[in-house]
Amino acid sequence: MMDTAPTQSWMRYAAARKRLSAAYLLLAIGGLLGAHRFYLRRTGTAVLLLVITLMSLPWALVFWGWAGLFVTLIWAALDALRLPGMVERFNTALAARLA
Amino acid sequence: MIARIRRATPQDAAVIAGLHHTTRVVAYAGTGMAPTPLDQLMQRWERILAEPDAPVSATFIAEDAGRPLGFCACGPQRDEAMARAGFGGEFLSIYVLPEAQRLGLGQRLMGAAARRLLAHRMDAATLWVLAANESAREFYATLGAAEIARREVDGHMQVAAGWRGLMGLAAA
Repeated sequence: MMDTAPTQSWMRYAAARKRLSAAYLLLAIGGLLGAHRFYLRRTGTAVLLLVITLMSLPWALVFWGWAGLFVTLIWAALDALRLPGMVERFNTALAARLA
Repeated sequence: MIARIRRATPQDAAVIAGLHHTTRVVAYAGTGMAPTPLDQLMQRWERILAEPDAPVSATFIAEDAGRPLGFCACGPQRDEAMARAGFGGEFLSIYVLPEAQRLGLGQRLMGAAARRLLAHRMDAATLWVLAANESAREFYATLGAAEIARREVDGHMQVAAGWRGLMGLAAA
């Protein structure tokens, strides 16, 4: 029989890999807040998205915020197209780290 | 060429059957084996891709700007003896068009399939290849496969290539 101890690298891969369905769900729910990018461990750009959206929200009622929200909306829309590739790259890099 | 690897959907049955047929005609040339007729292949792929209750099985397509170049299908092991030997997964088919070979597509397709098997906690897999298909056997050997069994089907020798550990493939 094969060793199935949970410390095996392939078990860690199975547990830590990212799912495309989860990434899309997060994008749909909290894409403007960078949720999908936090999930894929792209923390820097995730924080940037979050900050732009949060800073824009109060101003959206007045005037300037619309520009910021427009930026994050376009960003999230582009991410929707790039998500399969992002998930694949994360999982490939994860496998490379564990191999 | 910036080829993309993606999961196949039931709508891809005709495309995959076409690829399958083309690559088989090339691979079987000179072996005396008759390639399966296109309409039979198409029915088979319609069935495979429509299977909703296949949690492990998956087919991946490589395409460049919408042009299909190759595919790879994986699933749970069909051979009982191999399953008992620990090879829980199987690469059911892998084909890349001759003009798109040696560009790393086969490796990327197998990588996607390996990640799929790993995600379902299968860390070892096999595939069957014609013994006469030297270039394919060499390709699998470079990817870390060992020849673990032989069998004869319709008078043609086939070799089983096996991977113990799919992490290396998955990192491709």
